[in-house]
Amino acid sequence: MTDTELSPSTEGIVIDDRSPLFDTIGMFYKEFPSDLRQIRYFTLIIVQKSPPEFQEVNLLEQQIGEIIKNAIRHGNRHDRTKKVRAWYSFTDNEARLIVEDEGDGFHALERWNEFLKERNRCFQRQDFERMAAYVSFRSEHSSDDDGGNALFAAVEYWNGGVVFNERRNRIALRKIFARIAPGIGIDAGQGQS
Amino acid sequence: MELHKRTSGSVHIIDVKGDLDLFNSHKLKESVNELVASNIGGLILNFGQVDYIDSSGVGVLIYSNSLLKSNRTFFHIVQLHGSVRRVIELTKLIGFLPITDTEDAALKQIHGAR
Amino acid sequence: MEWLFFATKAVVLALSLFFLVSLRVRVQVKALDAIQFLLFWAFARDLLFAVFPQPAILFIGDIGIYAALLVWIRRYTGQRRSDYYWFVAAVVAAGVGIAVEAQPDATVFTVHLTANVVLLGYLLYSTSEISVHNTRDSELIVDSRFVLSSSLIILAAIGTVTAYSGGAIGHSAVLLHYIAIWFVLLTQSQLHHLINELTIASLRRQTENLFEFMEALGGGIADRVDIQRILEMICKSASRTIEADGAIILMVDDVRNTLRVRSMSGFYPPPYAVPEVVKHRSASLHEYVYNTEIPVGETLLGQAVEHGDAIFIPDSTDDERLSENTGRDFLFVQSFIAVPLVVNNRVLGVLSLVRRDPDHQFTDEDFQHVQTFASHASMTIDNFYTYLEAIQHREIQREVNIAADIQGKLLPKEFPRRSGTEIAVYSKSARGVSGDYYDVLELDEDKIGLVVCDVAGKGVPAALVMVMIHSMLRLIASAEREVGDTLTWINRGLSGQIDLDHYATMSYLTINHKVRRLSYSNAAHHPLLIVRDDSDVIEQLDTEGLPVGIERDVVYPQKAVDLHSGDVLVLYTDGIIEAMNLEGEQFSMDRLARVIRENSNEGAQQITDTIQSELDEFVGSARQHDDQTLMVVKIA
Repeated sequence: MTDTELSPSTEGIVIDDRSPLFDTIGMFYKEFPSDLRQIRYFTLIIVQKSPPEFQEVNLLEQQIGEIIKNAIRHGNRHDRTKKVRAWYSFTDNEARLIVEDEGDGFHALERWNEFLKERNRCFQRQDFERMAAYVSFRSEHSSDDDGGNALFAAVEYWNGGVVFNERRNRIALRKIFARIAPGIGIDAGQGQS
Repeated sequence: MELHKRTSGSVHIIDVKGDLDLFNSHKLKESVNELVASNIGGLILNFGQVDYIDSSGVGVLIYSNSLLKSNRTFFHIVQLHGSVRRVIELTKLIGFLPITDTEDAALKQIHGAR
Repeated sequence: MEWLFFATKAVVLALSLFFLVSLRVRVQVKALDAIQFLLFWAFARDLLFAVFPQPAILFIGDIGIYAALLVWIRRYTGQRRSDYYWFVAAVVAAGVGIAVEAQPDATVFTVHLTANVVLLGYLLYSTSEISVHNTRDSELIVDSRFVLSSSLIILAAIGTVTAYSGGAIGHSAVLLHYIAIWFVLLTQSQLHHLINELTIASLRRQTENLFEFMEALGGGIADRVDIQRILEMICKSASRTIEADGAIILMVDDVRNTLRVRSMSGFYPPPYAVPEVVKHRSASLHEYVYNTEIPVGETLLGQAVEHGDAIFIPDSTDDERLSENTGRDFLFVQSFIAVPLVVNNRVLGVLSLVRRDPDHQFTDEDFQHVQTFASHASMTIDNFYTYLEAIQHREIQREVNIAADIQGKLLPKEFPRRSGTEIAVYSKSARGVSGDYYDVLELDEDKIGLVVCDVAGKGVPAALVMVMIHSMLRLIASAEREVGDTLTWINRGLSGQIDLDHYATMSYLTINHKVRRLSYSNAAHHPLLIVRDDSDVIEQLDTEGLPVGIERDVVYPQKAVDLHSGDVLVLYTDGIIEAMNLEGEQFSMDRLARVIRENSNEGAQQITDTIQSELDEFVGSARQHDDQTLMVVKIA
């Protein structure tokens, strides 16, 4: 790989306690028990607040569900006495979500970021032989029904950023909905029009 | 979720109906395992009636793909659509998973390859 | 006599030059300078011969003409190694020719004949092997070579026979040179007309392409609006219009500030570095390009988008911008065009085309064509987007209306008024949500049932769940059935359904006026608030339970309490306490409780109205995110 090679794909997940994505002002709040059976219900409750103009609401719901599922599975390890806290807000073109669990944090984050980088490289080159080793991420807590692929989709879907806090038990995500008609102002390369 | 099994010659087809998520994706996995054990000529998963998939469901697709590949058995996933397709796209598995538009096209490919 | 011949030749030369110059003004033709040289050379020879009538002058003159013609041909085909041998042979022949001039006639004749056969033979061979398949623009040579070759053969024959001694025959024969050249020029002129016609035909074809494209677009609209198909069509048409080897369209992702490939046609080597592994298979390269996102501003494509300016590189040789594309491999590009797709100062994306044939660069006209094409295409794409937005808006509005309609029909319009018990409801739907449901059932003379329910989700699906609950409630609820059992059965009915997300929180209570007793069961809804007549403390009544629709076998318990005259009961949904103002604050349970406490001595309607006005005041002009439902009961 030459160093001039384009790699604009996501840089992965960063850790930043001071990210504006953690600002909960103006966000709705709900607490959920660590009960996987209620996942679809929790996500519907959250998505319910989105404006009718949102595109692909089913996908939004699915993506929110994966984040909460991760909190229940990997964070709270299915301990029903532990809660999942969720903050969420929607404007006309943006969805924001913060999910916190009572676990001891996503320690494999660095390894995951590396894994993602290699995975994206394989994908870009359409090198599926090699990609076979990078389809599912496994950590010591991965269970059998855990696809190990939810966060790969998440970093693609939440295009406005994915951030963990220092303790790594709180994740903040932001999705910006593209207008149907894309486009940027001329010479707007540095920012968005 | 419901699974309906059919055959077309030696090719087995599973029509998946409903949502494929962590509560039921293991059923699909078991069905695939059973079929592969019985030495089939090919497997097609028809997703025409699946409108929701989660990461466990995606995991089963990845699992099935590598199982059938190591078994040198033809494998196609057909009629992915809507948010299910989008999830596969976001997970960057288009290209990795053998996704074909229609069942006919998949059957043609299987028969053509022999 | 000699001078008469000479004067004739001078006139012919003048006419030829005039013809040649006039041709040059009209057409850009390769190698006309060689023909021009040839004319001057022939004239110089004749002038010299008129002054010094030496045969060697004519003989060497012929060799010079052969040389000029060979140069002319080589301007089309490129140099050959054997040409050098030919030149050496010609120089030797000229030297030997001059040297043997003093010898007896027989030797001179032999030397001239041999030299002529060898030198002319090679020229004729070089001319004959040319065809339009192996040499570009060779039509002129192909069309004129028969006349040219035969005139040279005749001339050489006459020259040799007359031993280059001039005389009437010799002079007349030499005129053949001029005639042959005339013929070449005439052929060129005709070719020019032909090329003109071809150009017109090509323009016509391009126009037809454009029409075809427009027609196809029309079809695109009629079938189904599919922007992907439109982009593919644009890509293909642009490529065909200027006969490019590869074309690509990338569209802007304004969230990520990048470009993504949306369509590729032909073979398009990208103007940026690619990893070694994909360089050697065109299919891998294709996939790589397709999956590579380009930040706006980076690479030629990103630059075209950033500045909104078209980039045209006719010749990649020595052009640093295409330094990745000059090797003899899959990445090779001869000519490159990138044109941003711009509408009203907004860049939608970029259209880029390449040509890979080293002898066939894009011309200025090609570039102009693509620019015109791109501006049409941009407008087309923009119109489609506008159209799509309009359609989407209409569909959303339709769905919103249907859902609101269903909800509106299910909610009760008036409430039974029994033994003075007053029921008041405030309910306000948020656009597109339609998930709140409330109901009042007359179970028998003494008993009413009250339901407040918040269906998870929104739109038509939520409204349909509401229909199911509404129907089941009417089937299941009765004066005899316990409230807990009623919820248990509703839950069982809902959980059996597949293909639908159907979850709801639900409070169900019955009031028996006669014995003033309340039974309550709750499926994860907000607890029932009770303010006793003689107190301003708010009691909360709640029971354990999941929302309905999640677990089929849940059994819902119930609680019963005694009621007193003047007691106030309040049920509400999320939308009330989560109502948000512009500062992002929520109305909250605290505010709701305060208003209830302060007004608990009022009637149900009065309490409801006060909460409503406080809520309105609090929220101001902020958007309503969720349905709001509030039910207040005052026990008589």
